[in-house]
Amino acid sequence: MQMQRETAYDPVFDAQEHYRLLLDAMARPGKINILPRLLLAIPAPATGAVPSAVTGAASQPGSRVFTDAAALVGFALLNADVSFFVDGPGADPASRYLLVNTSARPATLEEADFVFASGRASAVLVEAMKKGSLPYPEEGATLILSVGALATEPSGLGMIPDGAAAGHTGNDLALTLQGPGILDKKMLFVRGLNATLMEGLQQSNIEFPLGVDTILTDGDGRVAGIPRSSRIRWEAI
Amino acid sequence: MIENKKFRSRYNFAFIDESTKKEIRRKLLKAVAIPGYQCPYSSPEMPISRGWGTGGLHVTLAIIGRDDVFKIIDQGSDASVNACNLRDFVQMMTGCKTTFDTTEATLIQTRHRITEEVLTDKQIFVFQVPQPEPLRSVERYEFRTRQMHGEADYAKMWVSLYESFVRHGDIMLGAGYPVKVNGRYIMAPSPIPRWDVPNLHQSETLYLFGAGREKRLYAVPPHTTVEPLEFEDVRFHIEDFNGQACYQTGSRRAFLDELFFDDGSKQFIVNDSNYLDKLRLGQPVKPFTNPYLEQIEP
Amino acid sequence: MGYVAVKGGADAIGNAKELVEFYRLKEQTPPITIQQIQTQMRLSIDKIMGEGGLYAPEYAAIALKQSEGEVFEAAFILRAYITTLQRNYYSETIDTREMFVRRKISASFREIPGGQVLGPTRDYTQRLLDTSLAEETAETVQHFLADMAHRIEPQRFAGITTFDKVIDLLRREGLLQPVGNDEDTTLKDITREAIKFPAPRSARLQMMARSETGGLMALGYSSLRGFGNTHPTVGELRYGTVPLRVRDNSGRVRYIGKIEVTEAEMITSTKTKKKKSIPYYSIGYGLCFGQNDTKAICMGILDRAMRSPDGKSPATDAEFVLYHTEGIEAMGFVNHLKLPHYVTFQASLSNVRAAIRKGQEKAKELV
Repeated sequence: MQMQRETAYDPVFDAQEHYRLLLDAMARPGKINILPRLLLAIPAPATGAVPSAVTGAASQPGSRVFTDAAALVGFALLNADVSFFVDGPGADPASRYLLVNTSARPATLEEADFVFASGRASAVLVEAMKKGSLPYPEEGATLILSVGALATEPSGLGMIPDGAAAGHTGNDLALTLQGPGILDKKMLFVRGLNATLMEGLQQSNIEFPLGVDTILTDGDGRVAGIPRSSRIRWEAI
Repeated sequence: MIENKKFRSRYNFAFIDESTKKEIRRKLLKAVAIPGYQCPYSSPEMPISRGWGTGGLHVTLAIIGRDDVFKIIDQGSDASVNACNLRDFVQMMTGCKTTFDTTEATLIQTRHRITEEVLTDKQIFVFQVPQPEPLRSVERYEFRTRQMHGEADYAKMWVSLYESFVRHGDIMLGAGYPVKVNGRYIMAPSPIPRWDVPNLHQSETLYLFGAGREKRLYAVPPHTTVEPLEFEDVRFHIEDFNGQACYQTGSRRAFLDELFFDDGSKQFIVNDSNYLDKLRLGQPVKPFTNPYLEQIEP
Repeated sequence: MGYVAVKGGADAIGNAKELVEFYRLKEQTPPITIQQIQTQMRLSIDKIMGEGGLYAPEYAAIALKQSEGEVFEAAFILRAYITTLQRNYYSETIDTREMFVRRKISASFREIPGGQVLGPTRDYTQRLLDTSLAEETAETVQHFLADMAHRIEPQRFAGITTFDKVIDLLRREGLLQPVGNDEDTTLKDITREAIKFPAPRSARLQMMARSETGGLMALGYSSLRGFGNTHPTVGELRYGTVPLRVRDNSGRVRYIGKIEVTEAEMITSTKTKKKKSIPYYSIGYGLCFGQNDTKAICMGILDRAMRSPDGKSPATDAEFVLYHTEGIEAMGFVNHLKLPHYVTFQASLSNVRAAIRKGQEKAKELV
């Protein structure tokens, strides 16, 4: 398919506005910010449950593997100086899309500075990512997850989408976050996020300052941040 | 007639090129994710001297938007000559509104003071930092201080504080008192007076630090523990003005400057110029509160 | 209170800026042209480009005029200018064997391929103040140039070719230490990332290439005087023009012009840790924009010195050399002491007064 550069995106002012929302999200873990809708031509992922070779994550009907918001996060942060990896079905067109629009270099999961994946990915994904080193912990990678929905309360996650009910495995999670940026504790409700992925993240960040920083995005432009400094608890709801 | 365009200069919004802005932005995110950790960055050249605020400018210019309201102070004063120069530069490069009013600003850059008025979650506060490495006075080599931070090996620092106490009866550190952030990294808060240090702790606002010459960025997110280094029996304390008050407003709960007049007499005055203006005009103010300030008679 | 007057700061700096212009122009002498500076202050231009890190002779001339002859300030102006420029390519590696040589000397050998070519140098002139320069006119200039023109023999141009290097001779004979695995060969770009220590050689050489000449000179000198272990010989010093090439988007290599550089290859012996190992020669390398013998030679001395740190000599200490010869940063920071520091000072006053009070109270108790 013809890979177009996005013309609807302003690399100066959109990048700046979106970045402020991301900075705020990372400074206040669990807080949901909304990236404005832009008309993006993101390639659709391969349909059918073609599992990712790396993590075994399958595409779920009704869920986007690579949300518009994830693309906007990519545009805000990626350029020729960094590398990225896209996981899951639809990885190839998504990779090409990012390459064309940011000039960032595709790399392996183990080397990538930025990893784009679906919330359905497994712990294997996070285990393989860069965690940084003690003198240079910032070399740990950033994980950009595309999930079904983000909300400040369970009802905000909305109705279970039609057609998904049969395959819906009750993967709504209630996350409780504590640590820098949070007064006492902060709850975040997520649909389409594997508990095992959270486990993998928690394990990766146990040796703080080493670890991985996460940005969650959903199909309605919502973003939330979980820096490696956050202590995470979760339960299925 | 052929127009000579050769020497015409046109500047990118906020001066810095977009590629470099992205690098600074990525590093700031990592700095926020690892509170108190000094993240190396490219520190591009600026038309302002190194050591005169290039790091603060890097942070400001990388994050500022068209709708921001920008305030900049130096030693607490908006009118200080260097603040004026930097304000001009930012204004010229962004077209942003600038202000002297702390509560009106959305983005504040500072040299060596935190404002007396409390900062909110709608504001970002950027420090200019001359020496980002709190351990530099006890270890001159960068590759060693890196290791010390990586392994949380801060013994040398504690020993030097103890030695200061043994020699002088107190920890003789003035501006730039070292703090421990999030229980992990020892951080240099920039040469702010002790007076301001408690206002870093559990604040509402995001604090960002830029050391341009040394090429390091770091951050203290809101609601983060920031503890000045102290011993159980030798505690941190803020400056003691010995009961002095501002001679113009009578305020005792603000950091004061000492003024010497032509006749040799001496008076104290509130240092924060905007705070002083508001007090003099009888306008409402919302100062920071913390346990150390509360011990002073208002 | 003009320094921090209530609202007078902006006025003060505005006036200072105008005064600077006034001082530059008040004597009403004819404005110096950029071409005059570029052509008659050639070595200042070379130094400014070398310390600013931007090869742009015309802009360097403007900067020198703007700064009233202050080379630090002019280099700073050029360095700041770099940030406004778009960076499109990395050039292909320059091979100085391709240099069109204007000057080529060696102290290590009496005769070298192509001979010893002194070129334009003041090395063997007497530093006697030439007051006749006060009477120079367009006429005297023309007269001199006409005289020179007579003495140039165009038929000898064809014979000028590129020359083999002295180090190539040493290498062919197996006298040069092969570059070992512990020599860090990572390629860094110091303008794109902060230097991390221990720094690879590419970073050290890049930093020195834009270091302030005086700083390098002081440290290079210290190494020769006993505050170091490197006392090398000039294997070869070259000054001339080299072609610059870049690879375009299609992969084709294109010539984009030529630049002047000075290159120094300093020959030293290696310090060996193992007993009975061969004391090969090694090279300390220096390269900078324009004609600047001092800088290239000192780069070579310090390149070598930093590879054998002895734990006590500043010239062998990479962090010391690289941080402190960075002219723009050094100038900025030492001058920043002029900024108001009264809050910082007030903070220390508070401590000292409290300590004195405590001391006095203690003294009273003892009485």
